Amino acid sequence: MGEAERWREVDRLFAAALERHTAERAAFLATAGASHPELRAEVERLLAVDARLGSFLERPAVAGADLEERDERGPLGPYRLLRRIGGGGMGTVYLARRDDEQYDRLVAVKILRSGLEGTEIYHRFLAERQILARLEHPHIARLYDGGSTPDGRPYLVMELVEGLPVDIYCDRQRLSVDQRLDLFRRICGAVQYAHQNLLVHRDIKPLNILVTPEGEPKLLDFGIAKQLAPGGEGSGALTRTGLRMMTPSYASPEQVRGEAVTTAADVYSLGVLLYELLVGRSPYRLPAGLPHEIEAAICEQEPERPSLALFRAPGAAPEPAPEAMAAARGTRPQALVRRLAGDLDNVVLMALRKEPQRRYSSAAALAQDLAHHLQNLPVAARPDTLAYRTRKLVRRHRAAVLAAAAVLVLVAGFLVSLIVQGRQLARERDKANYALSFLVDTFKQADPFHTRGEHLTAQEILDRGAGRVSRELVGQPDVQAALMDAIGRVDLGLGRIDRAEPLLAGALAVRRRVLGAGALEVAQSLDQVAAVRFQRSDFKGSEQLLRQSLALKRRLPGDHAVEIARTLNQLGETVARRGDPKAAGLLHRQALVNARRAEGREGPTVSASLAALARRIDEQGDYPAAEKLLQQSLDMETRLLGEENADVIRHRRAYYELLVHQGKYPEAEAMVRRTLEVERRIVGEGHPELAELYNDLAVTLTGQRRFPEAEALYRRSLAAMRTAYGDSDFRVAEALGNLGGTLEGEERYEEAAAVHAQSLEIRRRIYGPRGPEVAHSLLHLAKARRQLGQPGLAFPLARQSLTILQGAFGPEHPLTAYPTQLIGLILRDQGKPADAEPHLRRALTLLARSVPPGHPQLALSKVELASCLADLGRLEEAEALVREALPLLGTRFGPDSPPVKDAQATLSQIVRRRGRTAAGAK
Amino acid sequence: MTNGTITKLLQTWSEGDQEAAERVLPLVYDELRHIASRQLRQEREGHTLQATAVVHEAYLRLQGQGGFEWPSRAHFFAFAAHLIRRILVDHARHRNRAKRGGGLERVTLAEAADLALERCPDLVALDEALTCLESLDPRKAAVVELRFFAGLTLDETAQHLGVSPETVGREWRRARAWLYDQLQPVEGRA
Repeated sequence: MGEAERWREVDRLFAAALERHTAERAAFLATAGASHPELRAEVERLLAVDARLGSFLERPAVAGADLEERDERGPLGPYRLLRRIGGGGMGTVYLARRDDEQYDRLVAVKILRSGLEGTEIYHRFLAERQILARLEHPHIARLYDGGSTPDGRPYLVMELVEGLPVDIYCDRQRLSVDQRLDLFRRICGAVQYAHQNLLVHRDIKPLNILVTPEGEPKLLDFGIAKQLAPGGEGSGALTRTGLRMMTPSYASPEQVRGEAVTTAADVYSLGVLLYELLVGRSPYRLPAGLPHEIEAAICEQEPERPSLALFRAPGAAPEPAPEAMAAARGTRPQALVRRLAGDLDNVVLMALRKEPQRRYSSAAALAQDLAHHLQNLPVAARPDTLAYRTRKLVRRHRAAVLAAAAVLVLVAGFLVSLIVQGRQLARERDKANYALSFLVDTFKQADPFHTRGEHLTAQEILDRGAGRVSRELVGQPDVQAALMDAIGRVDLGLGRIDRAEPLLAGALAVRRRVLGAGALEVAQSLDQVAAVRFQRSDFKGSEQLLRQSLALKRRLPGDHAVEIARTLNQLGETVARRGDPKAAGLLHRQALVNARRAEGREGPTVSASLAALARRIDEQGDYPAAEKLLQQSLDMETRLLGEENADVIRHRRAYYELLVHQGKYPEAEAMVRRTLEVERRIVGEGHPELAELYNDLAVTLTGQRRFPEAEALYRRSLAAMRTAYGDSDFRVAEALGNLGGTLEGEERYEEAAAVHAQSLEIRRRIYGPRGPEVAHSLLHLAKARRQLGQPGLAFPLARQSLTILQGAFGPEHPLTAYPTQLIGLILRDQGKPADAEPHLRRALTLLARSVPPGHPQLALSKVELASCLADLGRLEEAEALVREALPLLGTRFGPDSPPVKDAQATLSQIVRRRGRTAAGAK
Repeated sequence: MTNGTITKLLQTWSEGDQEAAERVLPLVYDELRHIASRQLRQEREGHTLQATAVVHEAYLRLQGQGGFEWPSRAHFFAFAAHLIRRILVDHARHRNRAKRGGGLERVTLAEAADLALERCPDLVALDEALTCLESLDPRKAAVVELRFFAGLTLDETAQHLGVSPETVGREWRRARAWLYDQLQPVEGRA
């Protein structure tokens, strides 16, 4: 499927899904998108994003308060406008006096602003008029009258409520908790009354609840209220706009998500109001108080218990001190906390539940429970059950729980090894118990109820654990080392190299001291520290440690074939990085022999060795052989470990790298996208490995000449990698090189040269001046220089690149084709086609030998050679070559792509010249 | 630049020639800026710029001025939306480089751009993503320009693009979701 077609298909599915109810979308996509799982995944992601977009871009970039708004004075029917007392999105509210014979009283007049006729707002305004006309309740502001201004704008005349917003009133009057509850229950009564009249207010907040000097609450502003059809859901059309207009802090999760809104939404808003009246703080921790943060918190964060919120660490918005809060309630902070803890915590949290059906069934039920509380009767609200909380905990802290599980598995291994060793059993058992209880203790703190609702991440759990291990376990060095190792490994797996390094190095040091230099555990620690070095682009250091470990493992009594195979594979990766795939391949072959001895024909170490070997063969340019091995390894691993295994993913990566080398970009793209989906699920967001996958995705896009998309991905990937790994990292260098390639594709050669120069500098630092990676940077830098018309600069760079590659891989390696070709092109540019021809021909031969016939590079090379031959006057040969190349270019890049146009230009030039030559011959 | 050339440029631009847009740009830019600063100066606190109003007025003023006609009102809106985007994004780009002086021209569209930055903290990234969207789906990009930069409502946008409001609504949601997704840092992508 082409990109455009793909985009349209996603459009179609997205639009169709939107028309369905949220609950039905998954089923719809499962059927409609069955044939294209990657499209389906994309649509699902868009829908997920759409659901939590909030007001993103909804408010225009340049829009402030209404410009048309202006003060109006003068008569309006029997009313005289006195002054403006408020304004909102819909219009302006004036203080007015009705002064005819019958009445003399002050009222509030709300006039719709002009220019809204026929709009949604206009209809909503009229709807409010109808709604209010139906309501008669002592705690709801009355509607007296309505009409139209001389210029046709509708207006409402309402009871003038002179009072303070409820929160301010309570604080000014220093109402006690009991008094506040009393007032709040009367507000519930008003809301309940509206609900009974089939109205949902949808914007309950202190500003809409004024309290008169007599202490009577008045509910105002039914401007975005919704009528509930009896027994039905009401019109959905107003729902989303309703959200846009309402105050986010008081919105319920379903309102934020734009889902169907029922009376339960008002119950939720009442819960927020109650929370604030009781403790003077928001239910959620909002570091910066940004709108999208609020919306995310409403949908995802568990509200903190009110009794804990009083002493909450201050966020971005300045909050009054606990003492001031307590004083406003006529009490002291400690007493207030005691008053709230228990029943009131439970009542508030029940009103604030995320799922509408788990809240109080009505505003009346909420008021009733508060009445029970005031009468010291048991309340209906109960804290969430342990099982429910555990489920939520796992859902919320998925990454954290995974990390905890990982550490537990590793520690279980440690315990088993203690038992197997069977020495001093009683003492070991004590140790084991100690380690276990220590762990359980650490992870117990991940429970939000132990952390006062803090959001714990995997990182925080690990950091907590690491801190405690190094502080508290000094007297138990073997337990300490095992836990440092376990936590360090998880850190390393999460890409947190700075955290992992001291732990793993610490474990190594402790083990050496306690167990002596010859223990298996020491070798294992050596492997881990070597892995850290590798991550830091220190391949030489990594290699040294691995060789030490290997020697140690080989000396150990007993058979440690799997251990040896692992170290050999790790060593192979390191050696390959240093630019010697052949030597690395030999190491993997040794690993394979050891693995098979231990596991037989199939096993995780066998398949890992196969995959590693395949990569080395790929690097040596034998793509078909590499593909066969990889396929074998992948099949085995998927069978053994399932799809969602880190090793499987890593090897799938090897597979699509191979596809890229073979020029099969669309296939590679599909595979990267699939891998991304899985990886995202496993490692969670924020993992630097995801950045690497985005880089891989961009590589496949570059291959398809989708440059702008690729560039954007590279830049984002680069930023993430730099944060995770620092500037001087092999992955950063690689991504820079790739970005440079894309810029070349877009003919932005100046920028490309700058980027390649950066990459070159990093690579020289990491690999030394003769590493094959250095050769790649040199090659691309040379390309850019040539395009910039600097053949004098380009030529030596290309030569240098070729020399390095030949030195590393031998003269027949397909990669040498690229610098060879470039040398030919530069010579041709310089007007030396005779010198250029053998280079271009040699490049074509090298390529043809290694890549499949459909590789676009092959066609591109033919065109280059053809134009050189044309320069030499060998027009017939030249024409044949271009004609050979054209169809492939057309299918690969599309009929109007630059490569095709270039080739056509070359062809027509050749044909013209042939015609002329033929004519001349006649 | 004679009026004939302006008309010509506008025509070629409406046929998709970006270079033409670059060349009429200063003319319209000055006009927009002029209107914007006057409005800002007139209004008291709490009253800031509204893009739609500015664009409407600019259209009225430029229409027929100097004897040239915009191909249509819709064209002008698309053009102005694009221009506002350019102005805001350029401003965002240079914001940290140049300190804003308290000198003569204090009130410019650039000040409105500061407002815009509060709404969408990464205008530059948005601009890049939008450019990318243009290459994938020009109409969605146009919808975003008209809605976000020119401040048109869904209905107005539909009118200007000559499609139904439902279509615009759908396109807007997809575009918004896609853009939002693009703007997430790599690790934060949904």
